[in-house]
Amino acid sequence: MITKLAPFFRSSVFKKQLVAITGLILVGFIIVHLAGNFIIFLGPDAFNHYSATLHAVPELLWIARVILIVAAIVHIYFTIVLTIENRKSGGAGRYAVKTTHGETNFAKKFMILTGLLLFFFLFLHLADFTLGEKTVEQTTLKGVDLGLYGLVWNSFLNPFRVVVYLAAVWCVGMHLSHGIQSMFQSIGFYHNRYTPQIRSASLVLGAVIAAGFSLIPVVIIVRHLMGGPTV
Amino acid sequence: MSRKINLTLKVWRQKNASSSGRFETYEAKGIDTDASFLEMLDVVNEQLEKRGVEPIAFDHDCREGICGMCGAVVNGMAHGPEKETTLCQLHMRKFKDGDTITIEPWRANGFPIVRDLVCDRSAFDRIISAGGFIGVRTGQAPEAHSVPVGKDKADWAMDAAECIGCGACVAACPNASAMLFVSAKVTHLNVLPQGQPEKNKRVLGMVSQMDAEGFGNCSNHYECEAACPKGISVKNIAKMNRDYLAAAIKA
Amino acid sequence: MSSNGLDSRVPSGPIAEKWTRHKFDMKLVNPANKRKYTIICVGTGLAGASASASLSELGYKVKTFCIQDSPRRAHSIAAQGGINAAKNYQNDGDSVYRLFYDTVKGGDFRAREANVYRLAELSVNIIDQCVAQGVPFAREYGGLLDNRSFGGAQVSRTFYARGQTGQQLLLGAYSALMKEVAKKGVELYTRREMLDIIVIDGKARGIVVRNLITGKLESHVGDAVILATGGYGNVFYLSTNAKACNVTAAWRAHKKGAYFANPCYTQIHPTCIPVHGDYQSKLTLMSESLRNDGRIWVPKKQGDTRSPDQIPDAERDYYLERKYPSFGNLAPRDISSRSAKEQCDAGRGVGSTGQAVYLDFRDAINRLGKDVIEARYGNLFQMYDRIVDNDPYKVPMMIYPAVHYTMGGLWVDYNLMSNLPGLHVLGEANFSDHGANRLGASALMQGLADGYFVIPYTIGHYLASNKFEPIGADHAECKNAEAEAKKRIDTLLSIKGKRTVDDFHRELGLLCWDKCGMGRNKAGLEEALQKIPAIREEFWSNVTVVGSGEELNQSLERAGRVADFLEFGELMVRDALHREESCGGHFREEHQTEDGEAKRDDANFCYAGAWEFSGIGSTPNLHKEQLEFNEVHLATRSYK
Ligand SMILES: Cc1cc2nc3c(=O)[nH]c(=O)nc-3n(C[C@H](O)[C@H](O)[C@H](O)COP(=O)(O)OP(=O)(O)OC[C@H]3O[C@@H](n4cnc5c(N)ncnc54)[C@H](O)[C@@H]3O)c2cc1C
Ligand code: HEM
Ligand code: HEM
Ligand code: SF4
Ligand code: F3S
Ligand code: FES
Repeated sequence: MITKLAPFFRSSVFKKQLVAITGLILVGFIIVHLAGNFIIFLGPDAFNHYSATLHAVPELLWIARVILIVAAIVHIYFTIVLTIENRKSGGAGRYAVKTTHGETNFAKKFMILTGLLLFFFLFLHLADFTLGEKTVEQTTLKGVDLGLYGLVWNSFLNPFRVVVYLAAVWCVGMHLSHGIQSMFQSIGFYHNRYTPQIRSASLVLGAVIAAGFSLIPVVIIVRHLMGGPTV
Repeated sequence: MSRKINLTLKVWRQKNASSSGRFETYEAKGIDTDASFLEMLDVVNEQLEKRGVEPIAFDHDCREGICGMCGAVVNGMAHGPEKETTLCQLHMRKFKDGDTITIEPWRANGFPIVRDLVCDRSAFDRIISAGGFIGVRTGQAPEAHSVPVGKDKADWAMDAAECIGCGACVAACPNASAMLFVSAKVTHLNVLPQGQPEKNKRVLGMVSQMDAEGFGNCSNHYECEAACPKGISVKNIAKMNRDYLAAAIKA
Repeated sequence: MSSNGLDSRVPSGPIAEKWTRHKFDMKLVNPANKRKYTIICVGTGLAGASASASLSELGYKVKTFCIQDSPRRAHSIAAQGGINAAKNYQNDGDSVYRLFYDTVKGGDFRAREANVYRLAELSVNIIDQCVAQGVPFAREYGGLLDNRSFGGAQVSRTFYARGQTGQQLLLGAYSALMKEVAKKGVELYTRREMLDIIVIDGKARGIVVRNLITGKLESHVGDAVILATGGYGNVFYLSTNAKACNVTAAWRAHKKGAYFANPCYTQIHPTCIPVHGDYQSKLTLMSESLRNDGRIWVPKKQGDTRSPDQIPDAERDYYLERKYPSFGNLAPRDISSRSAKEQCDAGRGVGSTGQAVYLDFRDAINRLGKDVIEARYGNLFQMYDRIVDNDPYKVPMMIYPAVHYTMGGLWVDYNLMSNLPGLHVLGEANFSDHGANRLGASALMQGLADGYFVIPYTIGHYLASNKFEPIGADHAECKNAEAEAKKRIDTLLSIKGKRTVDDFHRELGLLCWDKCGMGRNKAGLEEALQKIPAIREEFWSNVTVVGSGEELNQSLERAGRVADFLEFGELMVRDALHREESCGGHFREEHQTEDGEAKRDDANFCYAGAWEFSGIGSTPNLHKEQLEFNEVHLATRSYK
């Protein structure tokens, strides 16, 4: 079985398809995560309730986490392999006059960079909200312990963190502006009418996702400056 | 109306595969704007020869955009700036008097440079050998009308079959990937009813040979499509990806 | 059937049964023995690729050579219009017999009937074979194959793949070839130029090639040799042929004893983009299929400089429709070409040089709509626009005849073997099937018929009928041939003169075009016969070839080819001079009817003239193969 499959894992096309499939899982997560995070705008109760629900059945959570972790590992491993191979192919930047036929863009060129930045961001991010010890100090706002809600709120009062998060979410946006349509192409979906639409949608979605995530720290800061949440 | 223009050429000169190359600068004077790019090089070469300088080696044959033999990177673009045009069909009226033109060979590990602007594209032949055919022997064919082919399929196959094997897709791809070329052949044969029996074997074989030749992977930059003189669509890459996945699942 | 020792080996029996009977009568090589034979095949065009693939499938060991970096780039790739086959899918009365008849008549009764009949017979198998290989011929909505009509025929029997028929057929043959390469049945040698043929004990046993990358001379030996090296149209310098097309392979074989037949039969294609400058390196064909919908005309008034849309219908002369009402714009190539020249010579030509006529799509666009015309000819229109910088949807195209195809070639018998035993010649390189004029869409047919369906049988017969001493590439003959080739190369490099190779080529080409082109006459031919040796002499004392012989040296390659053209051109002119008649592509101005039509002389020239080499500058010997017409009776060709 393994020996029979081995050639596929060496094939450029199949490796790319693994990246696409894992990318799809990651995109799915990101969209759900964004939607979940938006509950923050409904107030502490709603948000904390949402978080509690997520944690209600640890088995399910762990299944989801394992899928995510595996997807991330596979995704990262193969993107790194592909990128190294591509560097060795005698490609990029090899001509004296640097120009393009007008198709490639910043996002496409820097997929590995935006990806890796995201990877480092994840450590910070998990330390922030998932793994870090949540002291009452950190979760308390205006003297009320608001749980995770309070933690997120307080975290974004640190400008340094806000900048890092904004950078990260725009990396996500850029990564996905190419990634989403690329995924369709890699698994072989092409349609004369829909594909051009998917390509534009991908750009839009990348921007929407980035803007959506950005909204959270931005709104928190703005509201903080306007006097903070009503508790 | 034709005019005469003067140009400065910066041309990649490399004696052979093992030597290292460099750019040389030549003046191309009084070039007729109705001349093709290769005819411009002819004129320059004749002047060089008269001075006892070895002429610039470049591949060409049909000079009408169909044999796929010509090709160089002109000002950073494979086959030059004009859309869907081979180098031999690029005309000097696309350039302005006084322009400097930089001319380089295709660069990719899969295409070692042979001399000056000439590179070795035999990798493409080996990829075809790995499955780019229908295994019918001479004399085995049934009556041509015994298998009708829907016009949509016939047209798609023809669109893909227009590939001239020039290699501009590889030259233009930031990863030096040969996906467009390979997918054009896979698609041409895989959409036709005659190509069905060997469909899986074909795509697996050709992709594996492509990888072995040292080309890069595709990360869907679509530069290849934009550079392709025959307008081969990346739709074919998607189709090949799909056929590959299906073949992998079945294997 | 034979004269002067030229035995055409046409089998006896009724014409329709000759090939079938012959296939039965020929000796076979048993399957286990086939792999003991090595066949050398030079050329990977339609003829060479199809032959190599088919022979390898049978089990022979094949070694295949071409000049280009890939077999897929052979000149056949450029054929646009289509390929004929007597399928009668249109139910318009086509048949093997009609295709045969049209081809013999189209060739102006200078082809061998038996060969032409076989060609027509095999045409149907070709289409089957190509469809099975995945050649994407144009289809109708019902999924069945579409046809178009072509010059010289009143039925619609031409199969096509957009404007890229040759490309698609060649890719089919090439893929079959590469399939055999993968199976190790064919050893492929690209970027090799054949420089000589190796003859041992009177049999062709191998070739000498130059590796164009390293410059190394290599000998390859086997039991039989196939030349499928295409035509010699580039003797004219400007032609529609690809730049690497040459006469070298055929000429070197000729010098080793193979007869060269009918070299004066060259085809001038009526629809090419006119010449526009002295830097021009080749001419571009606009497919003849354009004549299906385009109408050819010139202004009635001499020197009319109005733009074409300003010239009303009444002041236009649609001269082909006028002169040949039943064929109109689809009159055969030689006739259409000559008519265009006639108009231009009379001062009615158009364009800046006056050497062009209009090919107008206005009426077709009005009748069918731009979309239909675009679907039919889109890529041709685009190509025209790109070269000429004029939009043919709006302004009529300008066209002028150009050298396109060569009917002459090495003489072969019915088995496609030359008079030199073991040397087989296929495709455009032989002289066999088109007589003095080839009909459109018949060259592709011939190349594939020769390669897929004739040579696999006849070469077996040759191999089974002969004994072969084992030889190696170190045989004395190989060494001699290599040494001779080397000497020639060294000489070319040592001259270090003042004029470039192309310069000589242009001079030769212009001379041939002027004196031995569309119209020929005694005085002009004699003048050319004087001048060519002089150019040749200057070439060998004043040509410059920079660089060395041990590397990729494209000037050296061209120099070798031009040197051969300079010898061959003389033979072509001599042949044109000796043929005191007009037939097909050979128009001797002295021999025309009152209204300017070609006048054949069947009493004296109903033969194929095969020349035997007797040294450079010495008069070659003429051998005649008398032609007999038992089926299609000799008649004056009329397309009125
Ligand atoms: C522009 C154009 C359009 C045409 N359109 C049509 C059409 O629509 N229909 C039609 O029927 N015909 C058409 N023809 C004619 C037809 O294409 C050719 O006659 C035919 O393809 C010749 O095929 P071939 O196999 O004999 O030779 P080619 O295809 O010319 O192949 C010659 C081969 O020999 C090799 N070779 C040559 N010399 C040497 C050497 N010295 N050493 C080693 N290798 C050598 C070359 O590398 C090449 O592989 C057209 C021709 C032209 C020029
Ligand atoms: C402004 C932007 C973001 C905010 C406010 C945010 C907020 C949060 C919060 C509150 C949690 C904890 C959820 C819980 O434990 O219930 C969380 C977890 C997580 N976030 Fe984010 N996030 C943001 C952006 C991102 C981005 C861009 C990524 C990925 C690239 C990401 C990946 C994750 C992951 C992987 C987890 C852990 C999920 C788990 O527990 O398994 N987040 N995020
Ligand atoms: C964490 C580290 C990550 C790295 C290093 C990374 C790297 C890459 C790279 C280099 C590619 C391009 C691969 C190629 O085309 O050859 C890619 C594609 C992709 N990535 Fe990521 N990525 C990361 C995280 C993510 C995340 C978090 C998501 C989802 C939110 C994601 C979604 C995608 C998608 C959808 C694609 C397109 C797949 C395809 O082209 O078929 N990636 N990634
Ligand atoms: S796909 Fe296009 S660019 Fe690539 S080899 Fe074919 S014709 Fe050339
Ligand atoms: S440019 Fe290269 S990355 Fe893919 S889509 Fe084309 S092969
Ligand atoms: S020379 Fe044939 S495509 Fe350019």
